[in-house]
Amino acid sequence: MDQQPASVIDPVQRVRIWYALLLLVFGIFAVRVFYLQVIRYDYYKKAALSDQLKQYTVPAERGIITASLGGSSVPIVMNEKLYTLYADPTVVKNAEHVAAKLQPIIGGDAGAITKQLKTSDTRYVILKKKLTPAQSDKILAFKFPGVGTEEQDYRTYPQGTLASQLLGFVDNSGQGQYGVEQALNKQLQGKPGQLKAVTDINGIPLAASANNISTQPVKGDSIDLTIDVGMQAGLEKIIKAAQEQNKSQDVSAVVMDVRTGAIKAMANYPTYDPSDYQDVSDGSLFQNIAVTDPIEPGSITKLFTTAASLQKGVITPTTSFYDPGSWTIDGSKVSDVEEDHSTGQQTILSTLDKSLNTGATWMLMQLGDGRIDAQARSILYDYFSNHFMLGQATGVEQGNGEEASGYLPKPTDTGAGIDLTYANISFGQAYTATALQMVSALSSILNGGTYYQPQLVDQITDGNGTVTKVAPRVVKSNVISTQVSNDIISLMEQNNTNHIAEGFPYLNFGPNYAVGGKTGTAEIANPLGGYYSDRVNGTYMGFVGGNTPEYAIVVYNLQPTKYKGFAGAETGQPVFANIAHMLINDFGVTPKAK
Amino acid sequence: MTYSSTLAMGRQQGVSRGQNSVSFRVTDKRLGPVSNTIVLIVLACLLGLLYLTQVTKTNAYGYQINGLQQQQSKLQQQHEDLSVASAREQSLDRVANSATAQSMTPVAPSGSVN
Amino acid sequence: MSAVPLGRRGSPVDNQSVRRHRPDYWLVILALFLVVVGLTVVYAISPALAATSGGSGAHYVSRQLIAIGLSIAAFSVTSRVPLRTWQRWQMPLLVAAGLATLVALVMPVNALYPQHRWIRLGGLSLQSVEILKFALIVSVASFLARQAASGQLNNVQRTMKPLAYMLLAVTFVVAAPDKLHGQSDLGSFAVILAMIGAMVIVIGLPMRRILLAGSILALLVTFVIVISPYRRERVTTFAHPNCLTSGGYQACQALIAVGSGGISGLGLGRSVQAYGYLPEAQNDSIFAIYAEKFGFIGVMVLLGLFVALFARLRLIIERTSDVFSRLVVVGILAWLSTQMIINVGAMIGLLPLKGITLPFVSYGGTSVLFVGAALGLVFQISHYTSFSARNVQKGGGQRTMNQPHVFSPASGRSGGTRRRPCSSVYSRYTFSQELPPGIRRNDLRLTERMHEVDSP
Repeated sequence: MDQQPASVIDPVQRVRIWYALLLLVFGIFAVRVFYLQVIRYDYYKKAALSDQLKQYTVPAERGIITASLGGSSVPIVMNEKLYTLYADPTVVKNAEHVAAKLQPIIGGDAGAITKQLKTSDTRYVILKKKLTPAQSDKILAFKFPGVGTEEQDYRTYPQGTLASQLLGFVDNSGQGQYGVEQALNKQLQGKPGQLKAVTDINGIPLAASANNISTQPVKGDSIDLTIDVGMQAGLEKIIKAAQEQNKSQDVSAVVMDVRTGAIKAMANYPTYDPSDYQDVSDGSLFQNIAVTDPIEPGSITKLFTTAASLQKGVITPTTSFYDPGSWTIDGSKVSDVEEDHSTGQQTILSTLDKSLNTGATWMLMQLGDGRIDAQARSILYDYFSNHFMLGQATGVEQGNGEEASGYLPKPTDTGAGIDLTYANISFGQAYTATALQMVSALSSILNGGTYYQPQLVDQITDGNGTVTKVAPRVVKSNVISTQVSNDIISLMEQNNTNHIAEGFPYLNFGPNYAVGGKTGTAEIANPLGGYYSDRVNGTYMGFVGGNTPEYAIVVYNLQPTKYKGFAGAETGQPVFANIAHMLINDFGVTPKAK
Repeated sequence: MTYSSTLAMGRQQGVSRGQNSVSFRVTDKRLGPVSNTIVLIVLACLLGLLYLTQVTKTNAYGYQINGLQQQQSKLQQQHEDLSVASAREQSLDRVANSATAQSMTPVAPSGSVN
Repeated sequence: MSAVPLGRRGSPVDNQSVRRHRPDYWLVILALFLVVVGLTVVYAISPALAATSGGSGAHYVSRQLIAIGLSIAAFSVTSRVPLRTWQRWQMPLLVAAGLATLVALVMPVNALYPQHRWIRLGGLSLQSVEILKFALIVSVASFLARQAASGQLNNVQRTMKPLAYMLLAVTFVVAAPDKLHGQSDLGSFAVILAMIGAMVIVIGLPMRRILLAGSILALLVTFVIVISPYRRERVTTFAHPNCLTSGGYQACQALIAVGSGGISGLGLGRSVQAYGYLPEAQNDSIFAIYAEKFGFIGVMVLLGLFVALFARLRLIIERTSDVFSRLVVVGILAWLSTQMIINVGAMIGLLPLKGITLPFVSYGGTSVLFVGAALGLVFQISHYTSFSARNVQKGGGQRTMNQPHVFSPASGRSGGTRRRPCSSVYSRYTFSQELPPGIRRNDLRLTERMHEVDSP
């Protein structure tokens, strides 16, 4: 090297310089990697997790709703996953071909489908909803670009429209609307699960990560209703027939077990199909009017007035009194609706049998000082409000604030004609109550004086299978005495017996069963003042049993237009009779002990 | 006692009088350092492979879990579909319209309004 | 101390030709380590690959195993076929590589193979540029050695021009964009440049010329970058990496993978970025996945393995007396190191992404195959390293006919001479009497002339 000119670099040196440069690069790499992995670790860890860590809500399965059928529970509301077929018209190729292949599976018109597939202003058209998994699989097997199916949860109703108004439905956002679905939405919904996990790019959770958090969804509670499916179906059939025969606006009826306050059947007609709730144009169809629509119940109220008077001791079942044909109260004449009303001696039974308004008013007077005074008013009010729980919502498991409380005027109201108002209340006008309120109050009289909260839920099964029985809830004991209870039962039975003789042979249930009732023909208040002259509601309140009453039944036949005679006797009473026959024939009412 | 060890013993004791014995060294069959190293390396490799198969796919179990979960939900779905179908089959309308129900006759009804 | 350190039967007379001795097994061991690391990573992420890019997990591992098997076969072939034969057949080899490249260029492109880089035969696909790299090393080394031997290294007409033409041809084939029906493979082009550049520098071309050629090339490369939109994008995304742009996505995800590895890494089976986030996880991005799994410590080990391997190559370069052999090793070192630097540099955000594999480690048959073949050549050459620096030193810097070295390690510095031979046990074994492939007895003239070149 010593002999070489300085300008020529020795090749060995070149290799070494090169190698040194290489090592330098390695050094730089090491420093850079140190910077990335050690100094900037937190930053990159965060950046990584912001990509990799995904959070999901795992929807909880909604609880099902069951009801009893032949001694066991059967589901009446269940869940179903169905598929919505959609397409992105901008991606779909050969729309005619696609439509031709889809049409046999989804039905409809191939031309219409083609047209939808060619929609130009959107990237999302829904071709068909509620496809079964099999249909969905078939369509997906075609692998048409731009055509897909989306899973969606639906409520499904194996019993069809059964009890739809008391059940309610579940809307698109998974919230219960109306009925039990809304009232018990929280329990039915369950608790959605959380999944926070490091996932792959497609969102599939990877196994090994300290950051993974997974809470399982808690399945919603299953609700077992007190409703008897067979009874409900029979009741619906009966009221449907009545509505069609009488051309009524609505018919609703409630059957309650007097021993527990359990609602065994509750129906209105017309009704709707909950699986097609979105097609219902008249929103009032969603309402369970037996709970939501109070009316002036009419003469069936006379049983309450009688019970209060008996309990107060101002009358006995055999008391007779002089009926002047009409009373003048607050300057107005209170008279009877019945044609054959006449002045003369009347009894409590004939008051009920002939449905004498004057008789009911007379009883109210006996509660006072022989006339309608503050004492009479407050006693009647006390019984109606604090014993029969009228004028307040029962708290049944229906809707949120859906239930109506009805209207019961206060005895202390100083407005003009409070005495006349109370005279009206005594025979069932001037106050309002729902069918459910009436049946609950009647039950308390029939069962010897215990007012149970009307109850739709029999038991609740939570996600773990733990069953909680819902015990009957006593709202008020000693509503009336047992003696008064027996008196009323006896009066109702005699009333029924009289009606058989008066031309209603269908009220004959034979000697083994105790059946009683009271008709009502209720006038309808005109919002403009006074009452309509051309429309009434036919109502009926009765019971079926053996030695003791088992079922209390209230029928509201609203604004029937096709009937002869009195609405109560001609549109309420036959519905009751059919229900009573059904209960006796099909639902094992215990006959009288021999 | 194995055959080889018997042989070995025989060899050791085999020198007896009058016999045309051939004396030979008992070759020590112990492994040398190289073979030892090789055996160790092979063992280490095997262990390493075993470890690898166990450890490498930790995250990939996510797919297995996901697959099983999907299978589970699919089966649950099927179960649900079947119970819906069964509930539909047992619905009152269907039962009332069934052939069996059609052939039944009412027994002593208490009557109704016609 | 013997004047001839290699072979106890060696005599001063035949030390012109170094005897075949024990090769450098470290080459094989280090390379195997790297290959095993790569295979392990591919194996570990195979479920991720199967899930995110389809196919079965076993597919990747088995293909890589087959590639490694072929690579070992290639290694044993190249390490046995004498270097002389390679030198003699360099032209057919280059022609074959050229043909392979042409075949790749006429292959129609598709979504899976978007550029004219692959030769596809049935299920097999070969990256033609890997063949080209291998052939170019042999060919250019042979050419330069011949030119050096005939003293025409500085001859513009006979040495510079052919080299320039060849470079131009390579540029048009490898670096030219798709529009011009090139392979648009700037990464490989850079590797080829580095290979040839390193050989040219080491053989001792005047720096002035090298620098001139370098600046012309720099201009050319700039031009290629400017006319290719996707290269422009790569350069701009390199300047501003962003996960949300399609161009910056891979670079950004690679940085996230490396950075989130931390000091000790997530663990072998716990890489997340491989699960679809980082594209080419088994291939170009394998370093980032490795860094995510094994962290800073693991990366240091991997870099250490590479440094160790490159150190062995450098030692062989310094101790190989034959010009051709040395140039071959120089080319291979340039190949492996440049490729490694470009790949790792891109993964850690120091260089723009080039779409180039990490030698030994990355999944990919062709790369593994030809890297194995190249290593075979080095392995063969490592049979013939010599320790002759002492010899030279003894001669007090005087060069004799007996000195087989092209350049003199005894450049007055003792650093190079103190090194031990590649294997410390050489002297215990004598392998054969055959001459090293680079040297024939009548090549003595050649070495003499080369001295003249080296030291005028």
